[in-house]
Amino acid sequence: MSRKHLYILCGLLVLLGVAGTVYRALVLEFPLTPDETTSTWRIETRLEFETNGAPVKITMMVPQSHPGLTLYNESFVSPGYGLATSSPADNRQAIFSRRSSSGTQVIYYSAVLQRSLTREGTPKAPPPRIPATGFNEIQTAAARQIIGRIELESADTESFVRLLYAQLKEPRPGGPEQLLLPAARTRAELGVRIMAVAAMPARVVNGIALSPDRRNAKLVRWVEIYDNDAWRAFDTDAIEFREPPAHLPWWRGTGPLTSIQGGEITHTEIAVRRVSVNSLQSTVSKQKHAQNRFVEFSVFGLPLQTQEVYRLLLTVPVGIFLLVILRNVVGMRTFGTFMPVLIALAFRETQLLWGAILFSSVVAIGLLVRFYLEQLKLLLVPRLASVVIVVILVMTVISIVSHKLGFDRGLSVALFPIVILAMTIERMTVIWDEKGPKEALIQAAGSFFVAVLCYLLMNLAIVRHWVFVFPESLLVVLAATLALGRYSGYRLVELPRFRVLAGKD
Amino acid sequence: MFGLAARLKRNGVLGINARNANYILEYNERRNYPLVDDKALTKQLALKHHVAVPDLYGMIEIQRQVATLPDILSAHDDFVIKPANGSQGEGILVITGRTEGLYRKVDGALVTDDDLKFLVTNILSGIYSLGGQPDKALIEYRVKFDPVFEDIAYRGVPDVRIIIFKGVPVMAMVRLPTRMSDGKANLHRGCIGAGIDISTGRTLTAVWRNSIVTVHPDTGNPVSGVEIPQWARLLEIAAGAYEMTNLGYQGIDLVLDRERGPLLLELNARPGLNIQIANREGLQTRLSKIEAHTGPLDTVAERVAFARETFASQVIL
Repeated sequence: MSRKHLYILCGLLVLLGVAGTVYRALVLEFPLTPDETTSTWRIETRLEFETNGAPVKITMMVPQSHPGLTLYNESFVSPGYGLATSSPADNRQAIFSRRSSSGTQVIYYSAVLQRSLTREGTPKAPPPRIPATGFNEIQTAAARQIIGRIELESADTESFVRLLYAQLKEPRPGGPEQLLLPAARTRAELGVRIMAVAAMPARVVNGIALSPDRRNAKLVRWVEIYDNDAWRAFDTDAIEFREPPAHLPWWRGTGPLTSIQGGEITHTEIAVRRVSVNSLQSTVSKQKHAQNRFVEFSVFGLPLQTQEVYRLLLTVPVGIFLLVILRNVVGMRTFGTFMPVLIALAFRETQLLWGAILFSSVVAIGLLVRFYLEQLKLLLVPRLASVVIVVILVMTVISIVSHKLGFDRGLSVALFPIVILAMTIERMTVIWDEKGPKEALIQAAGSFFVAVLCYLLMNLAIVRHWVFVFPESLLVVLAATLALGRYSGYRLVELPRFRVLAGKD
Repeated sequence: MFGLAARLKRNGVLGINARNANYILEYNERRNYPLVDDKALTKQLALKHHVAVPDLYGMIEIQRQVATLPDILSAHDDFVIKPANGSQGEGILVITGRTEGLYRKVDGALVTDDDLKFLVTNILSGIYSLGGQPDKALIEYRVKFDPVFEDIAYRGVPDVRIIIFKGVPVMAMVRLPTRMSDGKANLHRGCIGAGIDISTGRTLTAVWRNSIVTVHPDTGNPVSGVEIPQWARLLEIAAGAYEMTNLGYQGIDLVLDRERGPLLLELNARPGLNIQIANREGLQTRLSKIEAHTGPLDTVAERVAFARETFASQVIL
């Protein structure tokens, strides 16, 4: 009964742990290894303008996250200017304003972009209003002529759009499109306006190419056609229904990137740079930006200093699990149940070699003092307290002496768990007296060896990364530890011990 | 390595994990532990069940009483001081006599009143107790062991350990102190463990420091084939311990006093596994036989009869 119960519990824990880890790894895209890097792009917009003392208001289109690309770490540098952002009709804009200023002014905008693995389907959008065509009578007639001809050759919206842009790309001399070309700044815009005449909703997308790196990126236009309740991107250069590859859609519509009242824009520059950042860092920033509850309510939601504490603390379960294996499956004997794990934690700060030297010297000096105290026949608690005091004094002296000698590593001795050391010394003397120095040294060596193993495991970069980024995986460790609680096989050390009972094959 | 584990399993050797998980945790209720962990309680319990124990001369429970130690001791030439909650024979001091105000230990060394007081102080502070809990010190009758052991025990007192499962004596051994074990009956420290045939009460093979011996290393006398006196009574006490403690899996330590017969020294809720080596047989096989048995095992007599019948030794000496 209790065994079945345990297995069900373990199964649930494993399921929960694996599910949480998979969710974090695949959906939230936390990196699986500590050194994984992700390509992100840093975009910077520099806007230079002249003002002449009048109230000034600058409107700048800013990009927004959209399926496939996530935007985060946005910053606006606009000293002296009031900043507001608004989202009119499919766009996002920043409005900088100031009562009065004069001379050359500069405003910066920067953001980091990261490609997401998950591509949700194109979101449904409500049917848009058909915009005014802005053509005069002759132009409208020319547009109708083009539309009429294409409608004869096309079967549906898709083929209509292809034919339209193919024709605009290579206008025939003397064709009606020649009349229209001067009416629009770009081919994308022209097509959208012709489609407006045909009452087909479409819009221009202004964007930039994300590669290669450029100091002054050119704006690229393509269009989006409203078809089947959603906007579909159409690459007007390739004449294909797709978004131009590796492009960031910046804003939609035929409006300009920036506009100004009360001044004159003298220079606009967009720089794009590819940066490799640590995946973990970028994922955390991205998810925090998305205000993901799962990330908010995790260690990443804590203040940095506390995060550091948990970075350390979360490795303890792994060390403890190893300890359980070493004690119950291998059968090693240690002083105190969890002492080796705590020593291993201290080793993390002191480094292994120094940790070993410091640990041995503190224990050795403590033992000498403890043997001396033995003669005084003290009661247990005051004796233990004396050992604690001596341990602290010894640690202080070691720190001071090593500092004066220039070994600053010696300072980290302060990180050893004092009480644990004192208990170790006490246990060691008792065993020394009761079972002889051999047994005491064997146990001390065993504890030390286990501590070193725990340290090596707990300090593996991948282990540290996993427990911190995927704390759910510790549920699997818990399940394994619980399952070991009913392990009834032989301990390794029992094999030689009972060898005489094995008989012959 | 796995081959070795498989062979041990085939021979029914019980490992520490299996003992803990399948027997101690399954059959021993924690609330019954104090009955066996506290030797003072065990003594009372034994007397209530008409089982003889070494007389209790006195008990020291608090530090203030340590001063009264010489008064307690004054009436006795020889005695034993032991912690009530000790384990593995730690903290036990045996005094065999006095010389000019000093006490003589088993090995002939002399100790003073102060040495004894310090030992008692240490016992009270819990050095020897499980988990370092404050403890009590017992001063009790020193067992004068049965002459049968005279030739095969060096100094200390040989004791008989019997493992009892659900009230059935499962396996038994006698521990014979050697010079190496410093007169203590503890296998770790080099005393001889000799398996006992449950059916006849004769010692089987003997193990000393992981090797088979036939004679006592200090006295040169044979240790196999020795008949343990009053074997039937020992089995009866062992089987009856189930009713005393309600522990399904326990070990009982008995001594044979030359005048008073079998005395119960202590009970153990986590008896060690070395008894398997002394008997050259695995415990698991025997425990499984009891678990599989469907007949009545309600009375002491039934259980002893079952044990003597089922666990008769197959080894031919």
